[in-house]
Amino acid sequence: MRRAERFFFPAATPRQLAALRIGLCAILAGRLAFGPYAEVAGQPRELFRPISFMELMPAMPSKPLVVALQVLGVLAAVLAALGLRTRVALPLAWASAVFLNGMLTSTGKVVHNDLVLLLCLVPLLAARSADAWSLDARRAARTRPDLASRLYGWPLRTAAIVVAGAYFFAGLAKLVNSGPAWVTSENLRWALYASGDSELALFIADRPWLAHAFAAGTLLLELGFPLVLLLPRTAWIFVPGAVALHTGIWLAMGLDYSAQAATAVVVFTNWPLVVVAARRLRPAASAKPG
Amino acid sequence: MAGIEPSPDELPPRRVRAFVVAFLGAFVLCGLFGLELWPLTGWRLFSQLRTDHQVAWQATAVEEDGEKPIRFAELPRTYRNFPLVMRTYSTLPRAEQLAACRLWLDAAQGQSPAATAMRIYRIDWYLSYRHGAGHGPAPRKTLLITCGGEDAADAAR
Repeated sequence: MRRAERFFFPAATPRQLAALRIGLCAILAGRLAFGPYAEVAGQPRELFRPISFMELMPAMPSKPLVVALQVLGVLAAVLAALGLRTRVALPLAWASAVFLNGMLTSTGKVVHNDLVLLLCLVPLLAARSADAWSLDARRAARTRPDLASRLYGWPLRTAAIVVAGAYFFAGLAKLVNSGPAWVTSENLRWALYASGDSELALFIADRPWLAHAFAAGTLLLELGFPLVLLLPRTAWIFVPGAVALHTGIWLAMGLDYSAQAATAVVVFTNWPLVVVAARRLRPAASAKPG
Repeated sequence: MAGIEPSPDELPPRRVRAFVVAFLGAFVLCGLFGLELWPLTGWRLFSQLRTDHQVAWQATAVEEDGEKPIRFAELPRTYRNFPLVMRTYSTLPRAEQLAACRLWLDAAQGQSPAATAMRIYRIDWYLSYRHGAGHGPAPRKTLLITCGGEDAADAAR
């Protein structure tokens, strides 16, 4: 029991948690600002395919409502990133994003692109994420930003479990639904051929051995990702691997999983250490002769 | 909570711990059993085995001098989910099939003002036909429905 408690509720500093808030809210603000939500607003009822809570809606919401929600969501996400009125701004930004992405996923296909981001934000809704690196903390001057406590570690661990779990379950679904044939058959070649005519897709699809290697690598990466929870150093392999995977998918198939890749980077980077390292580098850099 | 300096070993309140257990429990259950309770999901991304055989749909605007394919990519985004809607089209009641078909026809009349009707075809084709120098079977085109004009001569199968 104690072991489990230590795993799920580890100690972390307010700054580590604040970095997660700033990073995820910055990604969210960008996604909300440039997402195609207004373009699907007002879709005719006959083409509306609601799932989940969207089934409560009689039709796709109207454009004025969607634009208002988008503006509200962006503003709230920016405020949450800055740490101003975080307790209100963060839930507002999250709720707006869930609703707007619920619209995108109500056109006939489950859309996963922003799901990892949205789910990683869930623990922040109930966390003291603005006790450091925030305007709220500056006004209140309440906690020592570098003092580690178990009050700050659990959202980081929960977000890490969500990222690792998302990759693992994606790999598991492939094994359950297709078995080893996902790698050993022509599966990936056909998927690439069917996805369009990008040069990269055709380059891989035209070489069976390369397609098998990419399929095996994908499955290995997805199923192995939870190792980062037990062996944190393996994040140096799995996180760049995931970024490379999403970049490859984007180049070959035109599918944008940048929000998921960016979320993985934000969650598994120790940002306070990065800041310290950057500060150490700065005087050295400025001392160099121009 | 403001102004309270937390001790290093202090655990989060009981309600927060219950929240973590409930959230991660739901996340894991959906992942393990492939449940779709969006935003929780079963993560079934590209998990079905792809084969040579592909199913596609084509809508054409019927004009006096023949049929012209409708370019959905050039229509407003609200109409672009045509292939997604078509996946379950045959399960819809006939009235809903016709309503959707008429809607696409109205939108397509922007591209083809002379269109009087629309036809939707199911196309069974093989990737090897396209990428294997024509080795596979040739595509097969099946008419599903016609709408517009005097309306609906053919029912969806």
